[in-house]
Amino acid sequence: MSASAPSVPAKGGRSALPYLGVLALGVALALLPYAGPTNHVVSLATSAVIFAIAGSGLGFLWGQSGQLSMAHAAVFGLGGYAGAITAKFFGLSFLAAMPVAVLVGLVSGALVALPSLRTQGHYFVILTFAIGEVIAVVQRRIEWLTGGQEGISAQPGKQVLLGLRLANRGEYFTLIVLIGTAVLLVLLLIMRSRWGTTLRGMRENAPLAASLGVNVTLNRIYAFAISGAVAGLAGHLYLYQVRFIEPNLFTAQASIIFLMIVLLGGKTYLLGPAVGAFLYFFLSEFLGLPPVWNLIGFGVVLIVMILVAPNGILSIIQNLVAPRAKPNAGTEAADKGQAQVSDLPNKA
Amino acid sequence: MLLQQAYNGLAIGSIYALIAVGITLVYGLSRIIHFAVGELVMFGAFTTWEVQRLTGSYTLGFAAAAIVMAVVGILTERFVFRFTLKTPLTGFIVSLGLILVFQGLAVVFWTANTQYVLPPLQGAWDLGAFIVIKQTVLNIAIAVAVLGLCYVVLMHTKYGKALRAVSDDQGAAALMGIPVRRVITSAFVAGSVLCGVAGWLVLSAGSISPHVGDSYLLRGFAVALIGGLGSVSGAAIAGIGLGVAESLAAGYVSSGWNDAYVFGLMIAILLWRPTGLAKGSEGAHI
Repeated sequence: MSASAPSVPAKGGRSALPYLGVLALGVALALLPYAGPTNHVVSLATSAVIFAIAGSGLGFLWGQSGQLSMAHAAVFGLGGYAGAITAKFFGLSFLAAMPVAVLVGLVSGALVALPSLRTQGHYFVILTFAIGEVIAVVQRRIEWLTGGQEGISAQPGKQVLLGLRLANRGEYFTLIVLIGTAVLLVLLLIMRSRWGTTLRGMRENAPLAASLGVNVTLNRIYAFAISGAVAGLAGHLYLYQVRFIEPNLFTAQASIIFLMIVLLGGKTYLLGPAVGAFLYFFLSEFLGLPPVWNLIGFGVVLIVMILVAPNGILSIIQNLVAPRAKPNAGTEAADKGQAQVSDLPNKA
Repeated sequence: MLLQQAYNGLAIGSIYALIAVGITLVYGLSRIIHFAVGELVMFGAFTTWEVQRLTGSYTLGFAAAAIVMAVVGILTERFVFRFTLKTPLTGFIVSLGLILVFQGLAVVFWTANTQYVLPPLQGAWDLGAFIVIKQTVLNIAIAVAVLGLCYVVLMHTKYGKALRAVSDDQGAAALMGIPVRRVITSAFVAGSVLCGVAGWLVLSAGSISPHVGDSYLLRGFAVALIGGLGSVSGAAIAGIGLGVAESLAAGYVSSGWNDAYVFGLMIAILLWRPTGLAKGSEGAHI
């Protein structure tokens, strides 16, 4: 499925261009509140940026290492809970709690990966689903810590970071765009490193990578840990946007939304999840449909995208801008249902 | 207390077994993890409820649920899953999209509110320390009958043989003149109908909502995985086992943690035996 996927956005070798591009985009986006948008647009854009960050974690995991986690929303939630609980019990500030949220995400991400030592393929994906559900039950039941169904809140108060007031919606947006840009730069650095190449090698052919001396298991756990750390950070940012979290925000359905965001933009592209997140939040706003029809619409989008353009909108744009011969056009035609019986898999 | 909890577990486990056999049939034939089965159960329940409201008959509701789900099975296979047979992971993601679509449609048709319903059979037999709710007997009887029918069809008919052959080796089955495509479609139909029947049984719990399928989805998969994906008898046995274990844990420890027990048990079993408890899983077999 991902055999033809372009790996890294630009093949510029050691070029600094992609980094500068991400930085420029980030700075431009960070200035948005100064262009005088309505509060509603700022709030939507804030959600989009947070989901873009969390989605980038999943996109890194899925696009680079080829592993899919359906516990991503649960890890995202744990990051939020880490921020809220440390604020409530130890009075930690936004900044002080941030490393805690990242660490919680890192560790829980790695723990989610542990079953991959024993299980593979479908079994593993469903296990991540089950792990996510167990985390949700724990969040719901340990009431003294998490507030149970009632949830738990955190207030930004008078906190200021980089001269930006957390309580001010516009300034908070600018702050999280800067944080998100830093996250994307780190992910880009990892993707373009030698280890990033190793990860993509594992994605294409794990046994071959192992035969070349790559420790597939350990590298997989690292990839999960990185993805978890990003999700935990995003969860923390989410906490200070909504200022109140409860377990129902982080169920399997939220994981499906993350998956859709990543798929929509393009899982192998650094900016794919960000594009997906902005489309997700602004398209539903633009169409102005009731929430239920949005849900149905995005379900249809998810199905159509994976069938028609499994590498996302960015791959369509890339093909339009710089058309090139599809390396495996044959199999794609087969994907569209014209396959002969003999083409079907005998055993999974 | 022990007997009572075990019996309650048997009643709930028979629903899990039906769903799990549906999951396993679809997986065995197409290698697709069909995650929208919870929504199929929900649709089965709502179809029954709707027909019962209009006609007052649960029997008609049962027939309607089976027929509607058969149609849903054909439609989803023909228009969606057929295109994903080569890449089963795509099929899985497609089914996630179907969850959003089905749940949304259910909210459009029936609102997000919980609907209260009377079970088809009311009342109970009081056997001293042991109370048997009449509906649960009916549930178990239906599950046994349906699963028994599946067994007979799979093992003792030409169609069942074709099904097992396709599950074993599609190429060889095609060479033997088995219409592979049609057999796969029929597996989707059978799987959907099983979930529809499970939906009818779910009604007996007394209330339904568009999210009623959620807890059954993961339990169905827990059962299918514990029994070994593709193993029909494994799914049946694991379904009853999980129902009883869950009911005992709820009765003796605390029911608030029920989901955690179920998924914890599933995670533990899969870590111990990564392809399920049943021997030689992968592929529909008995």
